[in-house]
Amino acid sequence: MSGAGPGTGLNLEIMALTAAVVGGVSLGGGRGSVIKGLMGAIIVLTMTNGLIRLGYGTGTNQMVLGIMLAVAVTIDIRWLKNRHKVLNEVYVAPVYLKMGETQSAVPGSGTPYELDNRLSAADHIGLGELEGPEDVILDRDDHLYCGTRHGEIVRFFAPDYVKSEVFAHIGGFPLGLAFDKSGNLISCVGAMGLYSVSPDREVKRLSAETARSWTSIVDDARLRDPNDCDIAPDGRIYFTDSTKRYDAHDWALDSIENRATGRLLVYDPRDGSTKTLLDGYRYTNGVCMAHDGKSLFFAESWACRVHRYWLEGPKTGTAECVIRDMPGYPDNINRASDGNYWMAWLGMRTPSFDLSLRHPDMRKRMTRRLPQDEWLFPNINTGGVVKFNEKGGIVEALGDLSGDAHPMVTSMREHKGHLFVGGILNNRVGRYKISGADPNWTSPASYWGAKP
Amino acid sequence: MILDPILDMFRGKAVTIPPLDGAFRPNTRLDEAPAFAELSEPDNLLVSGGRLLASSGNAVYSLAAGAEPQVIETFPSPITALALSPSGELTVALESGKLLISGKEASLPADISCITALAYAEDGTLWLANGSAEHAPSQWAADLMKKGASGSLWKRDATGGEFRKVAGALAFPYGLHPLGGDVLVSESWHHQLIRFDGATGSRSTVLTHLPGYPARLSPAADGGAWLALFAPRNRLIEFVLQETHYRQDMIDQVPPAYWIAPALASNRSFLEPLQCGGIRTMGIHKPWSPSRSYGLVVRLDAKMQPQFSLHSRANGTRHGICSVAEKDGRLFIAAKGGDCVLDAGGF
Repeated sequence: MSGAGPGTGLNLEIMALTAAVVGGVSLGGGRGSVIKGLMGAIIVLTMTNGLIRLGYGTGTNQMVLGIMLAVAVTIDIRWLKNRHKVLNEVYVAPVYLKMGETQSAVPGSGTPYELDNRLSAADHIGLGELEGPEDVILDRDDHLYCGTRHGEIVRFFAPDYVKSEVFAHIGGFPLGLAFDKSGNLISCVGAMGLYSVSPDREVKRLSAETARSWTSIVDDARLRDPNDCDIAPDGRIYFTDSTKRYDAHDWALDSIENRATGRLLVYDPRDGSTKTLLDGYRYTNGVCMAHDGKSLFFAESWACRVHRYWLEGPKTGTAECVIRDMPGYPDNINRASDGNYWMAWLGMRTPSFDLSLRHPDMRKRMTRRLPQDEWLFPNINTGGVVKFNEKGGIVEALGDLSGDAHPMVTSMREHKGHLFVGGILNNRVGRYKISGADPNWTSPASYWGAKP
Repeated sequence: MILDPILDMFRGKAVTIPPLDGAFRPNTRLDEAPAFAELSEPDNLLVSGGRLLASSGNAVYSLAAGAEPQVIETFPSPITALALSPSGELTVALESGKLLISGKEASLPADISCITALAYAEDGTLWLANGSAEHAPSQWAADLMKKGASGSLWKRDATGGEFRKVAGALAFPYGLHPLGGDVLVSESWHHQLIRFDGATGSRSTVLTHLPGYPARLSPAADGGAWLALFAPRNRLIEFVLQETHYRQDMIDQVPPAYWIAPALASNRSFLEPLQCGGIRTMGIHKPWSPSRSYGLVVRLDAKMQPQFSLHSRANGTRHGICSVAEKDGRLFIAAKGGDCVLDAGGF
């Protein structure tokens, strides 16, 4: 070992190659590490030394190494080819959850959650043209914006919302929407990150990752399912990343697994940083700044809860649960003109699914033995819109029990006396006249004051 | 793949059901058929002296084209089966376990308490299907989810006398079709048709692996038969039947209407279970999605083999067919889950 010359390592090619592949370095590229190479080298050395001690000749040595190489390569190729199948088969890893007793939402039950058929009377916008308007929002000029599953943000023109255009193409699945003070449209784009679209349609990525958490083995820095956002008076954008386990299009599968991996994050436009504020919730979803801007509400879908996170005051930086054990799964939350808040229900709890949450083994076997189309889901064919007050008290609930117009509701936005209703699996935006609502109230004015 | 035999040890066993293919190829003929009468949960159809009778709740109705159903007779408890003797006596079984022949109560052995079907052979022999020894007819779902197999087959000779047990340990016999001295029985929970020899009671399997739960059988004019299947087989339900703990907890804690179990009608309440494929997407409920209820009537030829079928698929409403009847060359279908009697025309 006096020095490295051009002949160092000559005739050791087979050994080196075998060491690399046996150690687990992929020939196809993409996977490998120094440790793997070292482990492979140790295996190869032990093997050759053993064979020499047993008195086998050089030829046998070469042959055994060759066979090892061939076997390792075969396994490497087969594994790479079938890895996704194995993962698919074992990926869903459900956990136990005992849901609390809930009040009934059945019509005639007399509870504040009681659903009715009012939403079925909503007018439709973009019926048949739209696919998957998860969130809807209106600007100061009354134009309507919504995302689609094709990765576009579509704008419908006031006053009749018949004509439309593609406002911006982002890709991914644009979900939550919010306007900032200067009129930029901020969107949580499923499977991509937090994006901003300026009034002249310039698309800009704000954030696609946060800091990796200290205890995670798998890198959880990337945002997999950014879901809804809202903007604080100081311009910071609070948003949720619903799950670390599934991408946006597989969002419903997260309910089967029910692992608490949802996060609440904040993006600071002043330095472009993204911070994780809260972690470990069961599908964080809608975010809404309270009317006074001192706290925000966020929904925890699979646990049927709404939490309040404090931005100011003695409880700064802490969250408290304000609504628990609802009969439906909450989605987006937005301000109402009367000082209350609108909350969308994307689906309803069913006794059989609640029971399955207490049987994680059963759900695990279900995902192994049945194709996905046959899996038991929460009932996301019925949703609704629920109004709640500052303290978390339920004011009223609207639904479409016929299921024809708005089976699943993922968002609603009040604007000038109407409620605009969106659904991630729906083919329309609904427009429902709210009786007794302030006909001049708009969300942009509520956030940023009258038109400058 | 070469590693399959090794990997199989770690894999769960897939749950499978017979596909809807061949004679069971789906169509929408039940949804297209015009409604002959609106009736709440019509159960058993019967042709009696040129009239079409249907049982619904506690009453027997007479149905006619373009007229409201007329009540013929009411009973103290819901009707579970109807039959007409060769001499024209209306035979009615009740939920309470009683059997009335022309209004007179017939004496029954103590073992009979769940009469699901009645049929007279040409010689006047009365066949009786007792669905379960543990449950009433309306509790059929509990019998299935508890994997019940306590049903029995009985007969009474044309000369009268006592009922005699022909066979026991049947998994919910639900339909009867006399074939000479023998009888064809639909064994619901085992998805099959069995033929019992009238003299010896020996059994032979006629048709197995049905894609649904068979209900009643009725004769067709050409010597074949019509078979109504009241609910579809569903892989999630078959899976739950394998899951002892979950199933037991479900029976104990969940109201029966919201069980993961077959149903006569579904999608009526948001508390019912939903499967992934049944999610409404872009306004569409996929007709091929898994469903707890379905409408299915099968025509069997003289050898009791399926020829063709009529369907109401997952997105349809004419579900839960428990009985059909042929009258004057037209087929009438009672959709218990669709609250109507259909006129499917001639075949």
